[in-house]
Amino acid sequence: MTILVVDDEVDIKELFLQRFRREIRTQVLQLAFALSAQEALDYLDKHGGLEILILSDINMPGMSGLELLRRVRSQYPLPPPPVIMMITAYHDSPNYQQAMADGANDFLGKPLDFNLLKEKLKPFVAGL
Amino acid sequence: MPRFSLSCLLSCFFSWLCLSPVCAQDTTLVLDTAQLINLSRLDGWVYAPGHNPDWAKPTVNSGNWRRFKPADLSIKDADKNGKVEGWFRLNIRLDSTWEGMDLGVRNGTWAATDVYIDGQWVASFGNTGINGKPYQDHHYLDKLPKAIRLTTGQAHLLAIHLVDYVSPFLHYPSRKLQLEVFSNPAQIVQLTGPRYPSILQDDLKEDVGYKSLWFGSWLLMTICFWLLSWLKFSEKHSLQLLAIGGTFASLSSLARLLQFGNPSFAVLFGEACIVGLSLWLTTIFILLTIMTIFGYQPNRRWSTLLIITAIAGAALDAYVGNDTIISIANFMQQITIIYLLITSWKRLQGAQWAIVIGTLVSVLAATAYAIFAFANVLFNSNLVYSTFHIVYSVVSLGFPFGFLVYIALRFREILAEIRAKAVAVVQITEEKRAILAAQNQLLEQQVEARTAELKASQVQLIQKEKLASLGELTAGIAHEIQNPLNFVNNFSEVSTELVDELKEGPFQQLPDSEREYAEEILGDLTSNLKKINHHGERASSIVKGMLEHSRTESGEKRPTNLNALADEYLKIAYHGFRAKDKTGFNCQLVTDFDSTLALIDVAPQEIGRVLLNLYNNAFYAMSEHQQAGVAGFQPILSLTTRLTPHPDSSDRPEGGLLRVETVPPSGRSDESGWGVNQVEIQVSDNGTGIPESVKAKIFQPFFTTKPTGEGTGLGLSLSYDIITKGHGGVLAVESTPMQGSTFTICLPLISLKTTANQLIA
Repeated sequence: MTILVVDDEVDIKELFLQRFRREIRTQVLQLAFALSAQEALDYLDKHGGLEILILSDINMPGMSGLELLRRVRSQYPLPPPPVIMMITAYHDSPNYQQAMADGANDFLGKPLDFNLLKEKLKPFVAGL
Repeated sequence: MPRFSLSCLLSCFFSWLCLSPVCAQDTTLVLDTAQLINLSRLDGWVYAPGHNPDWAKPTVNSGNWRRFKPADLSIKDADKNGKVEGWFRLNIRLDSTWEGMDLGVRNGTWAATDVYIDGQWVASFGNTGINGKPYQDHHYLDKLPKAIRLTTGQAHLLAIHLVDYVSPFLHYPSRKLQLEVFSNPAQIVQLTGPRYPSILQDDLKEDVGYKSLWFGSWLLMTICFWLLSWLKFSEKHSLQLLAIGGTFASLSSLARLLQFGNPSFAVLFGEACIVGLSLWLTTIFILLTIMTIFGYQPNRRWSTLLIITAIAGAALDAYVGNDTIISIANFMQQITIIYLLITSWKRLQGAQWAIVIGTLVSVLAATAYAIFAFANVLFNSNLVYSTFHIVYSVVSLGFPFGFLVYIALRFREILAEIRAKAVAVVQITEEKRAILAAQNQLLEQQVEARTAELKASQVQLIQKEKLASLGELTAGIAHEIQNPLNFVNNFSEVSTELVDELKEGPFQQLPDSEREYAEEILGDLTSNLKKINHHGERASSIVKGMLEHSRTESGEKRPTNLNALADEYLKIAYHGFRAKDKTGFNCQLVTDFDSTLALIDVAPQEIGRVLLNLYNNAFYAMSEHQQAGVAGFQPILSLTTRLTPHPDSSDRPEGGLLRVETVPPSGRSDESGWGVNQVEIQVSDNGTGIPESVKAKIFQPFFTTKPTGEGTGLGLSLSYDIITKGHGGVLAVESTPMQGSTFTICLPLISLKTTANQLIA
């Protein structure tokens, strides 16, 4: 299982790598990173078919996370569809509702509570 | 002679006693007071028509002459050419009483006469035409007598040659001799006494004097009346009428003066016509004037009729020359005037009495005049000539003088009226000015008040605008700041884990000498990371609080028992505060709930949060006050709910930011009935109070008076938003420093879905 983290913040990579150090080391999951939605789509094009779970920011330069969500939902309709969770600093009601309406599996706020994230990932990642 | 004009006046004017003052003189041969004897009336005259110069001589026998006296001459004696010519003869003898008297002979008619005594010519009056010169009638007016000498006791033959013609003017039903017009055949031969010339001259002077006086008086008064009517005096109409009457009166007075310039027959005839017509018209216009003044308002038709009557009367006067008819006419006029006076008697007021008096004076004087004249004739009293003049002056001028007095009085009345009106106008003006001033003052006050309100609401608007933009900004910042906070919190946390791993793993490999030092460093590192994490979490909670602002509208409203809610949160807040407090804070809680409050549609959690904020602030304020060491201080928090009439929408505080509000008087409902009520929740404490300078800022976000770390400065700001934006209500504060504060939440029922009727009931 690969978790694709989409965020324009460079430091997010370091944070996730450190936070999931144990899980990476034990090969429970792999992390991939994209600095923009477009990059994420490119990654999906390249690695389509693999098991991918997307954690995406919403507010990003260029394409937004919600746009990414919509594109993924429209381009990869076959079951099982990719799991997509939105992680945003703008975790207010309109954004939440929009994300859920666009087909997000879950919606998490920043600052990110990794314990909560791991709980949410458990159903999708075997051995976590 | 002067009596001619008097008779004319009299006949024209009044005299219902129907007397002609053209009175005959005494018939005795005694000189009267006028020093005059009309010889023509004596019996013994003989007459021969035609002419013979010898007939003057005593030698000529007149035994076959007709016994005929000159006083009986009439139109019958005229020939077919209208000429009368003949001789009269009379034997007279004066007794001794006449001894030494300067006598004179006079002709008081228009007829031309030559007078002979004992065949000797003594005087000619006019020209009989015997000396080759043409006939010339005798202008007898004011002519002095010719002196004659008669021996007393001796008989003298008086012979008169007389020539006269029929009057050329048609003014009587039957034609008359000239000597019958304006004169009397009895006056053909007059014997005058020694004082006669002076009497005549005195009379003449008096006559001229009085007539000038009448003319002058009338003229002046007429000018005066015209000027007054031109001045548009209020009595304009009657003034005009009288001015016209006065004009005629002046004209007649002027005409009367003509004879003194040229005493010819034609002039006198013209004068008589003018005087007659003028006097008739004067009388009519005086009548019209009186009618107007007394409020009869004669219309044009009546006025015209009256004027025509006057002219007809004048014509009749001239034509008939019958004093009876004229006197009847005059009598009718006077009756009319007296009728007017009587019928108007009760309506008369003020100045009109002057008219009444003037008219009565005129009428009474006319009566007196008639009585005098009558007495003169009847009793041969020979009243002094000037008496007639004086009485006639009163007759003539009584009314106009009365009218002048009337005008003067009216002027006085009008002036008084005008003065009163002016005073009233001034008074009203003053009053109006006072009212205006008061209104202006009121207006100014209102303008000031409105301006102040405007300024206040402007300040509020600016404040709101600032708050709004600040709110947006803070929301943006709050969201954005969560990104870095994400790293701060998570990196510090993960770093703590890393340090723990380090302690468990590689740390154990260190030699013991290094380990102690390394352990110390790691301990510090862990502690620092925890501090970073703690402050990061703190920042997170601040940001969360800030973001609550943007979520104020989201609370779901449901019917809530506000009393229960307020009570419940009060207990929670009190216990919470006591748990945190280390000073042993103890507070008396006083609650006064309006039991009629039904369930009200609000967002209970939001309202609860607001109440919690207010309670906490109250407890904090009282705790501070207590710690300041005020002796005998007992903290009391009182909570009140009640249903109050909603203040008028225009008075409704828009923001409540600066508003210091007192509780409106309690009342159940308003007659208009639609959502007029509001629910009021009041939280009062007796704590430190809020200084005026601070009051304006307490609803601003991040404003706090608490020490750093104890408050975010968002509580009241959030509460304010919940109440005003979330519930359309008002959050107001009233505070006295060092005495306490009262926060009032007003929730209008109109914006709530609960049935207002139920609440009002």
